[in-house]
Amino acid sequence: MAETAGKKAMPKAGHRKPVFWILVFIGCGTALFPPTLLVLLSGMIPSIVAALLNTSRIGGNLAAMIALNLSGVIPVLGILWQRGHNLDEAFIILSDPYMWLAMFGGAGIATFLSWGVPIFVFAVYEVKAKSAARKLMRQRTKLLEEWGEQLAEDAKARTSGVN
Amino acid sequence: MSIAEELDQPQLTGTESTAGILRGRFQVNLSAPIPALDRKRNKAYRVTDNSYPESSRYAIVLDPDVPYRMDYANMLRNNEVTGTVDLLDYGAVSFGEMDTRFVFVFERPEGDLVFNELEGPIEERTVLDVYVPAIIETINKHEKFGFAHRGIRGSNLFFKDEARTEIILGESATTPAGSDQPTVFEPLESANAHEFGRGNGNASFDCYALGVLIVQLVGGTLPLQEKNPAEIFTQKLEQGSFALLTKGLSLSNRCKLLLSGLLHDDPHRRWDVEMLSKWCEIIQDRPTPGLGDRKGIAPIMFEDVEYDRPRLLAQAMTQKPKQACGLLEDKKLSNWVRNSLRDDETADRMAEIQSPGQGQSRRKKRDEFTTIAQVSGLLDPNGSLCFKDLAFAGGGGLGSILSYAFMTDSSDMKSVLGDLLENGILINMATNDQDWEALKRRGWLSMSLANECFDLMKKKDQLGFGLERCLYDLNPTLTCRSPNFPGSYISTVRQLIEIAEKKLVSSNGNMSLFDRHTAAFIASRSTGLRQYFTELSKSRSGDLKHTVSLLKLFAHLQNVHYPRALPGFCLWAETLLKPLISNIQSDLRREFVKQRFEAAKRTGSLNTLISAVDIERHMKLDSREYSQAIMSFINAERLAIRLHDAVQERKAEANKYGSWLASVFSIATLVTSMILSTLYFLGS
Repeated sequence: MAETAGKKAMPKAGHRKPVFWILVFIGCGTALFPPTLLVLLSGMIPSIVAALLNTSRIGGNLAAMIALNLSGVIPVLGILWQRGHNLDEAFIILSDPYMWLAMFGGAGIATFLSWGVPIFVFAVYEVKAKSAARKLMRQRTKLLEEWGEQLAEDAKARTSGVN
Repeated sequence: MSIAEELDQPQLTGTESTAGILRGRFQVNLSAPIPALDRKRNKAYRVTDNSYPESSRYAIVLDPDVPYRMDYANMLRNNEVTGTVDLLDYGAVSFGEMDTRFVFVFERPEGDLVFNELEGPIEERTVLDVYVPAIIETINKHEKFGFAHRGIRGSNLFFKDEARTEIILGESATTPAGSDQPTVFEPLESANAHEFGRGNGNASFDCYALGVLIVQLVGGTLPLQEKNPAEIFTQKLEQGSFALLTKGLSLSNRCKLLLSGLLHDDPHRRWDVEMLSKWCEIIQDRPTPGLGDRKGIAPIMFEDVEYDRPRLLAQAMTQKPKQACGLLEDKKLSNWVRNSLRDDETADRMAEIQSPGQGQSRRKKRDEFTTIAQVSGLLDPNGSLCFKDLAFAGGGGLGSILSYAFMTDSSDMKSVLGDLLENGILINMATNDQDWEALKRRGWLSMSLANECFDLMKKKDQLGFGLERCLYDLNPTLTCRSPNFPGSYISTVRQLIEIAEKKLVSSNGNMSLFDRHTAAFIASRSTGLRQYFTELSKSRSGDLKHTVSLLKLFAHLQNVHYPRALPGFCLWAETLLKPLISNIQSDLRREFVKQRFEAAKRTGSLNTLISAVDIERHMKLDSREYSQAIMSFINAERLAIRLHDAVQERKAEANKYGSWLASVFSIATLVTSMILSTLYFLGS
């Protein structure tokens, strides 16, 4: 029982570690580069929400979300740094809807990918499975044509015998 | 083809114009029987000699169940033996498409029988001066070639010519030696033997028969004809043949002298041919008339009867083996032999024979019979071998009695003979017999034949072995007794194939060809077949292995004995192979094999058929492929079901893989974004 409880506690402990480092990063960011941190936190809202809503179940999707989200935020941070890296410019950037589009667009694409790719893969799997099933049916028919219906009966007998 | 086979080969194929002709010369007329010359089951018919149409011939047409005396017949045909009817020729004759019989052609005596009971006795002087010298001459001729006539009796003595100047003996080659003789003509050595088991004997047997013939001719009647064989044997033992047969007859001293020599019950003291040839001159050397069996000093009590003669005791013991075994306990019998008969050697050997233990089992009973047969053989060393209720003398007696058992289909006799051959008593008696002369004289069965029969009986349940095989091995002239060939004369494998071919063609191959008799006959009359019979014994009828072995056996026989096309056998092969071919699962393979079979069938060669069809290989391949097909079918079905049922699994897999793909794409995009942004912003 204690062992089971320990096993359940483990992910919680593992989860705290990145949160700790994120908090350290936020703390340092607030002190050292507040405009970047502001834009970064604002741009990464979809990822933060996704992480808070669903953490362990869709790890792959979260990673995709964070990666794509971040890939949208990085050019915006680049613009911020290019324009002087101060809070005014940060607020100007955050007030620009295109900037929001760039940052949230990555998250949107990630969401689309997370939804669409498995469906696409499943469709491919289904096509492959149906093709294999058709091939097996053709093989079965061919065997029956060569050996007669007795084959089916003997196969059935053997299967039931084995079972 | 061997000479024997050539002899047995029917010369004509049985067309209407040539049917019933032996070697193109002797026309056997089945519509003209001569019952007076019949030999029990062998029938006599008139014969027309195409070379000498005016001559008088007759034929004995053999019953296929009766073995004839092949060696004796060969000797008669190849040598000039006067004093007996002239054997002109013999061989298989075809009387119709399926009717082949073995025929002996003899010159027919022009005169009647010498002795006719209605005409009364013949003058002693005529008998002694005219008939006896002629018969002695005949016996002498026979002995020179190592044979005995074994048919000297009143009903087989003819005048050669109408003028009644010369006499000749009738034939005795068409039946087992001595089987036509009334018991009274048999000496003590074979008098208690079954009529078919009397054996070839020797000149001494003929001398004894001559003695009885003299009594018959001079006395005017067949002696002791009112007695049964057992009574005759017992009385001969009790009184001695001379005393018994000459009782009440008025004979001259000369005749008495002759008869006392001829009718002596001890074969060592019975006159031989040399003595007979000069019997007139040896009147001074008057032999002591035989007094039957030798007599002991004191009697021995067996079943409340006192016996002082060992042969009589042996006879009584064989009738009550269980009680007789009691005599062996405490060496009672051996002591009697030692003390009363003064025969230490026999007593010592008797003492070595163990009495079977107590009990009622079948094995114990068999042991009793075996023990008593051995004891009886010691008490009556010159007599017949008695086993259970059968007795037979040496010189082919066992073979003939075996043929009689099959001829009459007597299961009791077969059982007794089977026991005798498989219990090893014959081997025992042969190996224990230190006296090789005695062994040779008795010759119940040669050591090699006894061993061979013993081995054959070990596998008695298998085809080509058992009692049937012993029957054919012990009777080289016997025809195949298979019920599949009723009325056909088959004495060689070639004839078997020929007749079977005709039958198979007429029945379109639907005929049972191979039974115990056919198997035993083939195994006995052909060599190099052991491997086929071993294979056959390992499988059951209808099995693939059995069918293939059977076909291979007949293919071998076709190659060796009848190298011609056998369409009938191919039809038969079709009936055997059809069920097997239909068992081939693959339609393609089945059709292929069928086509090959049809093509090979036309050749008429079983060998070609076997190699073309190669049913064993095809069945093996088919079986293997069928198993593989079943496995493929099962796997295909399983996989199809699994594919059908695995939607959720695929979905989960697709989710997993899709997520991974999205992650990879995202990270790649992130890295690309970082690189491009760095390049762009740092560069500007």
